Amino acid sequence: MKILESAPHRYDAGINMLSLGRIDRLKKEIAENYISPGDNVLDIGCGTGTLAILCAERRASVIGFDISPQMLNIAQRKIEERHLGEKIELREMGATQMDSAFEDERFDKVVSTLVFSELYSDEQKYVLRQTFRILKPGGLLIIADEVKPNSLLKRSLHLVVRIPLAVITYVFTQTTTRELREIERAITDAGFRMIFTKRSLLGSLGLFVAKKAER
Amino acid sequence: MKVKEGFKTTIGTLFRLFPLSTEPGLRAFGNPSEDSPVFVTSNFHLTVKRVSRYLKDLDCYLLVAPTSSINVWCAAVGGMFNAHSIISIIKTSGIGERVNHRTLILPQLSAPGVDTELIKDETGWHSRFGPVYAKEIPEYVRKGFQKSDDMRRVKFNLMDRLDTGVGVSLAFFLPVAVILAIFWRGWLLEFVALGGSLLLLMYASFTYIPGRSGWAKVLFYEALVAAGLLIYLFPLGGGSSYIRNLFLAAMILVPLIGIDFGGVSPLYKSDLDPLLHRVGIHRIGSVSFKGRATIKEENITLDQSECIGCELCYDVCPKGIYDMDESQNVAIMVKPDSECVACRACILQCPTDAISLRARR
Repeated sequence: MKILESAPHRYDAGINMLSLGRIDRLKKEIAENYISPGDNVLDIGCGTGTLAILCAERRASVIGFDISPQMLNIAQRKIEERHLGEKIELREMGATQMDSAFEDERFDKVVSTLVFSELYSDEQKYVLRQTFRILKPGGLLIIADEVKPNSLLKRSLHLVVRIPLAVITYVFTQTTTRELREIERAITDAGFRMIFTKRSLLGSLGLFVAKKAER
Repeated sequence: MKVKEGFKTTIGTLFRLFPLSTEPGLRAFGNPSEDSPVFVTSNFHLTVKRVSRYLKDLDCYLLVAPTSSINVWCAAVGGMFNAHSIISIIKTSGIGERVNHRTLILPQLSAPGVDTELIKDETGWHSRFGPVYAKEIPEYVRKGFQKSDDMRRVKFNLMDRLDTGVGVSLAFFLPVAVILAIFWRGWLLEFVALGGSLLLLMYASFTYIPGRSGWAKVLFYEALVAAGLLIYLFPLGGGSSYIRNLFLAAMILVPLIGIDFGGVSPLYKSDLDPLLHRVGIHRIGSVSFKGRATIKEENITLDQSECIGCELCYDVCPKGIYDMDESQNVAIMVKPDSECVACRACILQCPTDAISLRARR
């Protein structure tokens, strides 16, 4: 997030370029497969609001927060264009303010895309503990992020594609992302049970769905 | 592991204009107890490396705060080292469970960015500003956490100057050397030798050169080279065009090496930032220099009627602009405004907003 903030007006274009359009498809998939009408959804690091809007279009109530006011301005504009102001509440705050911002068992779903890879490892653990606390029993945590491919061959292939792509993207948009490691372990350590994971063909983009046990 | 670390440190030292990250989090030194002090620093790789060197013989904790991998002073002035960096590391590191006190010792140079009141409100932790340099920490601890005036001042000794000069300039030298190597190989050796020696000379003699700003010093070097050229041309006849070209190349290199001579030193304001700002460049990458740029045209003013004598401005000023008038219990400015490096530490830290910027008359 911190690096991406520097050029918010170019964020959407930059991130799409870097992921070759895959991140947008993944966000659609999250909304279609996991968000139901009437859900209370929290979007951690909602950025320019793409996923929050997709969730609201499926008639969920969404709270999205982000640390960057510039990103939230863009999100606000996109929300107003689609007349979804009733369904989405935006807040300017950092992830480490989650402890005082939300009461226990408030949300049905917590989503977060391309955020965890920008947090340092203690911060990831903190956010996962807080997410566990604010989810209702049976609630879902859905994370999409860049991951390190797990086989050497895939890693090398990934690097070949990734390095030139990252350079081009940085030159044009000055945005970039870091890669996430060992996220599954951290998720289960926070008390969740993994129910679904998916990696893209080259293994560089991952989708992780975890569940808080029913009471 | 050791080789990899060493490599990272070497690269980090040579190319320090680029952020080199280290993982934020809690580090322990020696055998810390519940009463051990808690120090804070930035998550720039080189910074943590150097701070660790001076903490290793103490029993203490070090919180490495997330500052976008930028060093303490730059991150504090640029807005990446702020109260939120520290609140975040307090909450995520679990330091509160390790010690029974609630006092952080911040690097003095984080004062331009860190709102200590906000940290107290959000977490209950108090902050105090330690020495400017990590190497003073053992002495600071030995003296019962008392800071001498000397520990409050930025310095620019020979090693620092050479270190800064090489670190800052390589990012410019290397691309030029590569371009010359491809297109103009005949001048590569001259460029490296001439540029390298000018660089070392300029930084080594920095503090002895007259001039109250970076660019004034650059002008002095430029005049020196020009004088050299004139002497070569007239009394000596100026026979060789090769040597004339060397002089001309030096005249181009001197201002390039010194393009932000003031700004890279801890002793002077940047001359470059206000110029860039005026021509419409307000940021390079993610670093905005709006604040540093405008302060050039403004003066720090102290309204003594608002002063409550808390001594914070005196404590955080790295140039010793302030002193305390003991009889009146107020701060006084004891050095001219031209000494100010525009770090804004006093403005942010003053609890009554008695210090502000006024347009220069």
